[in-house]
Amino acid sequence: MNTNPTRPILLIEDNPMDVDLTIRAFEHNHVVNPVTVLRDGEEALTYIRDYSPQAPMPMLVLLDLKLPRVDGLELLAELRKATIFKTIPVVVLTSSSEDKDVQTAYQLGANSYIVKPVNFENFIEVAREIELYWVLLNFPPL
Amino acid sequence: MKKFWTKIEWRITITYAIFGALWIFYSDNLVARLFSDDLIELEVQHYKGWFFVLISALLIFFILRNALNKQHLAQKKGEEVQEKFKWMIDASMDAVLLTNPDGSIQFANPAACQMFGWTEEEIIQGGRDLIVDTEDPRLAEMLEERAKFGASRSQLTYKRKNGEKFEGEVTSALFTESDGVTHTSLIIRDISEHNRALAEVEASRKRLSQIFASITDAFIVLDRDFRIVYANAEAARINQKEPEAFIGKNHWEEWPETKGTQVEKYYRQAMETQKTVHLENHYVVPGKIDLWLDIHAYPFEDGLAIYYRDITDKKHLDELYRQTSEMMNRVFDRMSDAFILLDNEWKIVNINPKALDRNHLVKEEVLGKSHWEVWPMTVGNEVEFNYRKAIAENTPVHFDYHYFAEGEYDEWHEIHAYPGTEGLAIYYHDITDRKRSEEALRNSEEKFVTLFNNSSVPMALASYPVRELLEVNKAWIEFLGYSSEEIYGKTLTELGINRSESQENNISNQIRQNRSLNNFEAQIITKSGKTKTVIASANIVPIAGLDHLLISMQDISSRKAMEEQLRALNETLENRVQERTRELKSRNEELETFTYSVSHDLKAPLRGIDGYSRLLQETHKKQLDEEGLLFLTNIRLATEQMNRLIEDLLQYSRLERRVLTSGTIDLSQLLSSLLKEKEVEINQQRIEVETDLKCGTITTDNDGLVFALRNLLDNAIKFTAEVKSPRIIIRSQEENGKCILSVEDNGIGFEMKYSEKIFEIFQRLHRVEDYPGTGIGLAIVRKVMSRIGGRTWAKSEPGKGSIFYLEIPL
Repeated sequence: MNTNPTRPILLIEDNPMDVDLTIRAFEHNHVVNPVTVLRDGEEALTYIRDYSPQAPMPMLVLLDLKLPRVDGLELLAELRKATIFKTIPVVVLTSSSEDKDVQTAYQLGANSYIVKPVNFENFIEVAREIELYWVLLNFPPL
Repeated sequence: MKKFWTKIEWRITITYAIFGALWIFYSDNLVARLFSDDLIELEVQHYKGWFFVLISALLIFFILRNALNKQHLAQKKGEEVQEKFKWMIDASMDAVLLTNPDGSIQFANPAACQMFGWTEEEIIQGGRDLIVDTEDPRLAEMLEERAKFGASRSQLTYKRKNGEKFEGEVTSALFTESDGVTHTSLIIRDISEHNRALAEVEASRKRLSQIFASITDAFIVLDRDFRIVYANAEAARINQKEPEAFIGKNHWEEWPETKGTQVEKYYRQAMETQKTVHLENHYVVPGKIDLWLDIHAYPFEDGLAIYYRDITDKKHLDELYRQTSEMMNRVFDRMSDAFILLDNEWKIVNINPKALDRNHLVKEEVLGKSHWEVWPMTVGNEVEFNYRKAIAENTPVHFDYHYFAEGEYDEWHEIHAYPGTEGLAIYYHDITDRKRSEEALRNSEEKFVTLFNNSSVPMALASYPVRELLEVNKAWIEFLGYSSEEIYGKTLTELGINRSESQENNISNQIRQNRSLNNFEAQIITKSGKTKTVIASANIVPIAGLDHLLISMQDISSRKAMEEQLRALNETLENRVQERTRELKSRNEELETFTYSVSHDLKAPLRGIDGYSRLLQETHKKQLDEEGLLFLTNIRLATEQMNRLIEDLLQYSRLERRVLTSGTIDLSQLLSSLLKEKEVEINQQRIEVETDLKCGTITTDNDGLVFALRNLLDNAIKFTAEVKSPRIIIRSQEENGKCILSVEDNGIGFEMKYSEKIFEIFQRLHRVEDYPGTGIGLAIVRKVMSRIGGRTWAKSEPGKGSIFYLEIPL
């Protein structure tokens, strides 16, 4: 079991309602790790650039694909180029179920691809599954 | 000098001396032994002396007598011989001379004196130079030869007293007399007469030979044994041999093929009877000689002179003449032309069967009758005119005559009449057919000329191979602007109609190779300077035995222009298509972006609505009354419906865009996995599922087929929900190279008037609350089927159920 509840979860999502609902879903499931929200691709790139090695390493990146300015797939590519974030687990969490998106995401190094359900119960279930697997069960790189 | 003891006298002397010595020596000893008494011995000695003297005297007597006899006989004989030689020499016809070593003459016989005209004394005094022509080069040769061999025979030139020179044959020998002096004897014969006679004989022989050689008849002479003594050039020629090759050969060996023939019989007869014979002989040596010879043999005492002449040609000519005249007679009788021979009085001398038949005449009746009597209709017209003209001018005439009488005959005759010293030979034949065909030809020629002139295709006739224009038609003139006077004798290049050298080369090469030009596209220039594109064709046609070129051309300038327009149009079209394709592509891209946005941006707010409705329901339940809660439930239902619509729409658009992948599909396997997916619903509703699959494997787009079939199954399950003992039957069977797959249910069904409408997008036959759905499913099915090249349709009856068909090409 994961023993470091201080490592943050990065949520890269532009839609405020989606951010709110995601956070609520996590709360609903009693996730203790802090959620750092980055509202678009550029903000995420800044975060990567400015990241200091002393800060705790994010445990997981939840990435939406449809983002203003720099979109999710571009961001993913940049993320995998940065030395520190190269190995961090990235779960694509998006409304798109397009084959092309799925394919590209995995090619760029996504670890998982999950379609956001519209139904809120289902959404909570998804959040629970993510937390269970990626936060509690999975051992992220140090 | 001989050794002295070899001489007989010395031998005798020496033998005598030895005998005498031995006698003295031994006879005394012997006497002494025989007679011991000295006295008697002395007596015997005495007698012995006398005996020796007697023997010696006798011996001397015999020897002397013998020797004297021999000498006497020899002397007597020598005198006799000398007398005879002297007589011989004096009587000799030949000159005999004896010379001394110094060349002076010792003796000359009377013949010599007569030959040279000098007396013996004069000859002896004058010496050799008097009688021999010392300038004769043969003299030195003769002297040399004589010195070498001791004798010689040659001819020399001699001189007579009167200065005349003559040829003499001289036999000369060296001899040594008993005194040891060497003399020369010369025997000279005057051979000038002999030479002249010989020359005359030779000349006469030559003359004869020449005569024989030059006579054109072959001439051979045989002796009584039939040996060939002479053969002349012609004989040699006939026998293909040299004249010398015959000489000495036996006639029957030389010409074995004549043995036993009439030739031998005649020759022997001539030889025996000494009478001239004459025969003709066919002389054949197979493969070599085939001649007819006309032979005369003249016997004479010593043999047979034979003249013969090659008459092969004459024989052949005779034969030919015989055959020809036979043939002529046959021809005359069988000639397809009518033939009439008239004498100078116009009387019919001969008439052949054809002429008789033609005129229904009998030969015996017309012979001797006048031409004008037999054919009165020819009097006074061109027939009489021409016949008389032929005779008057002594030239053959030739004319066509229309032999015509209304209702009786209508014929054309071609008449030839040849005048001769004895009259007129006429022959004629019926040329009615030819005349008619000529007329027909003239008509057809006219037709062709009209055709040529009035053809709308520009045509020209040119010489070949120079290709000078000879004739052009109206269309050509109109097309190119040149008049027929301008073009005559000029080539297209000269006229400037064809200005491209490469084109000209191309045309001439093609005509040379193929003897024609087929649909050659050429650029030509009219007189007014306009460039035209034509399709030219040309053929080599023989006209009056000469090759001509018939050229035709077709103006395709307007067609070319149209082609050009079409090409430009096509290009524009191509551009437009490309443009449209680009547009379409960008539209597609837009649509993709659009659907992408739909999937994201339409769903995000829905998630918000649903999420917050749920949160409201959950966390603010107490603040809301029952109606408020119902509203929230409806909001969430609507959200769900909206979500389904979005999902279906996305699927529909994805189907449109996705790339088909063909694969082999096992239908029964596919179906069982689909049924497995729906296992829960099937069990819940207790649906009886039957399958009857006969297609086996099919090759098509797997995902598409799965999609269509899944939709149909969904529908079948959905619309049998309210039915007691629901049943679904899935069948497949092959029909006309296609697999027909059907899904039958016993559900609520529909009216057949909607059987097409249900395949349209967003079309629904039932309320959502009764049968949830978006109205997209069947539209997707139809889309899938059309994309894989198949079809779909449905049969139904309300309350009884429906059958949906999928037709998949195999």
